[in-house]
Amino acid sequence: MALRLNKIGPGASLQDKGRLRWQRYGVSASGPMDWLAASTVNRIVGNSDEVPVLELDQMGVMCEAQTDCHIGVCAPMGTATINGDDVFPTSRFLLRAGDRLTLAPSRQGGWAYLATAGGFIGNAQLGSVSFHRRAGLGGPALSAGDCLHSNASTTPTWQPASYPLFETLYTAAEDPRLHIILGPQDDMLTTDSIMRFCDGAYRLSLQCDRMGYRLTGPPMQHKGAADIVSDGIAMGTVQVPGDGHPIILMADRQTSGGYPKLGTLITADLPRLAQSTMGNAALPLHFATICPDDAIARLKRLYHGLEQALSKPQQIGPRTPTTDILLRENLIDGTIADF
Amino acid sequence: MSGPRFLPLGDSALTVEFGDVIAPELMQAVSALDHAIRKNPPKGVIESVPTYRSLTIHFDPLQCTHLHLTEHVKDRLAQTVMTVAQGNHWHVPVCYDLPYALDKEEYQAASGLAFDQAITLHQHATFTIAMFGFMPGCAYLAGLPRALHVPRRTTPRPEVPAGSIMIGGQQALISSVAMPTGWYVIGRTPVTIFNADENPVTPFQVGDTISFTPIDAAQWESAKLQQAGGD
Repeated sequence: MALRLNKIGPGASLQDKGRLRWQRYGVSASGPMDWLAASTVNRIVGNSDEVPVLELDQMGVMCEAQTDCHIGVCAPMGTATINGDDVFPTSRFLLRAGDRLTLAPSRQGGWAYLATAGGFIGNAQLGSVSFHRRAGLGGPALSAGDCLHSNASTTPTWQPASYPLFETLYTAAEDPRLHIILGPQDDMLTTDSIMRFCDGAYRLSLQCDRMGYRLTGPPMQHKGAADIVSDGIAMGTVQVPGDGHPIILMADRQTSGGYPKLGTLITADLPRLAQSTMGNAALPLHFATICPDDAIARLKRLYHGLEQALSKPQQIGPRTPTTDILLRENLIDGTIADF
Repeated sequence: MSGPRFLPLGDSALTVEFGDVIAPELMQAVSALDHAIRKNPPKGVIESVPTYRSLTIHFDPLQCTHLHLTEHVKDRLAQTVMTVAQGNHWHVPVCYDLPYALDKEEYQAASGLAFDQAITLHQHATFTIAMFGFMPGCAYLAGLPRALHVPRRTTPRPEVPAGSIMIGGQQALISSVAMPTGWYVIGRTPVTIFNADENPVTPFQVGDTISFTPIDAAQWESAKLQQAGGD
């Protein structure tokens, strides 16, 4: 297969599971911004979670099949069209040579994913093709006119399908708040500051990229110094530098940091944060603290919800307009409704 | 030393914190635990990341838990004496002249030392590689003599070249790739510190020791040419 990228944003990149096991050498883990959407788009085309997908920034992509292409798309709340006709943005289909596909996330700051059966061919470095722009690892860097190719050795046998229930994992989360596990340095910030942080005082600024999401709101107060001897960082760690403006560290994060860390977002809530709106249209972010056991329970329920969503494909077609229709048609079973 | 603190870093990582300062005994404790974890990783552990004073252990939360890992680490720590592998010692050539010593003037002003005096102290010190961080292969060094400590620059530089020898606060650093920094650049080494396409990606390991050997600009250039020759 060959897929030509006619128009693509500057923040688009190939991403796989990321550069695991190299953080000890200061190498960023990278990987997708929204692990749930990236994993889903791979699953619906029959891939394992590990193979490279195309991650798209706000500008989305306009592309054209040069040969037959078995494609999957996943853009929670986003849009997808084939030759100008809407398709549900979590779908798989066969593009014939000459077919044109557009795909975009819906929100300022969201991310959309495109996969092909077998995965895209990229330049693996340190065991991953994940592109880390600043370190110059993986890739290649993509620009308009480039062609992507598949690693597939066989032609998949699946039929086209849409997965309208997938979006409910974002829109009907069991609790709309984002959950954080406090620490390691929450005790360096005032209790008032932490309460304000949880109670919706912060929104995503426009300074959000693959490295981190910078929040806007009243500066948080440190009890004393705002410097620590550097220690480890994870995806979703909320770091509070001297200016008091929290930064949530994302996929292309550094491996260690020298500012107090308030806490770290739980894995189950990272996809919702990654797809949140930035800038002027951003809504207040509400956070709640949680213990590790409950975080894991939420992750397991999210995986269960994903299984349910992917077990109910529909014939490929335009986006189902509202959740009401899904409910009326009884497509949401008890598990999902509870979710 | 009392026992370490076990601090969750989200649901997929645990930071084992031995202290909150830069001190040789903390680095040794981190290194020993790191070694033990790597030699025999518990189920679900993906990687361990040493820093000056703590070890962060990343794991798959569906295969391992904080509680499990904490118990495991406590057991390891209780097992007799944890051994620290003896690292290599490296002599790293550095040109302390302009244009490589980008911040010669500023560093003199900030430290209150004549630059010659400062680089003499720098050359006679033995540094330990405490951790890698910030960018791939960027080596953080412990062992900076007290007289060389300076606050960081008030205005960071947008980019300094790979191989820059830097000082910031009580820490010293060798940069591996071009990067922005608020630290002072006092020289540059022609040695390639990080190459993702080679194995190993960096000659250094955490725990190795380093001393710096002065070279002049002509030696710097010829060393660089020799490397480019692909030997």
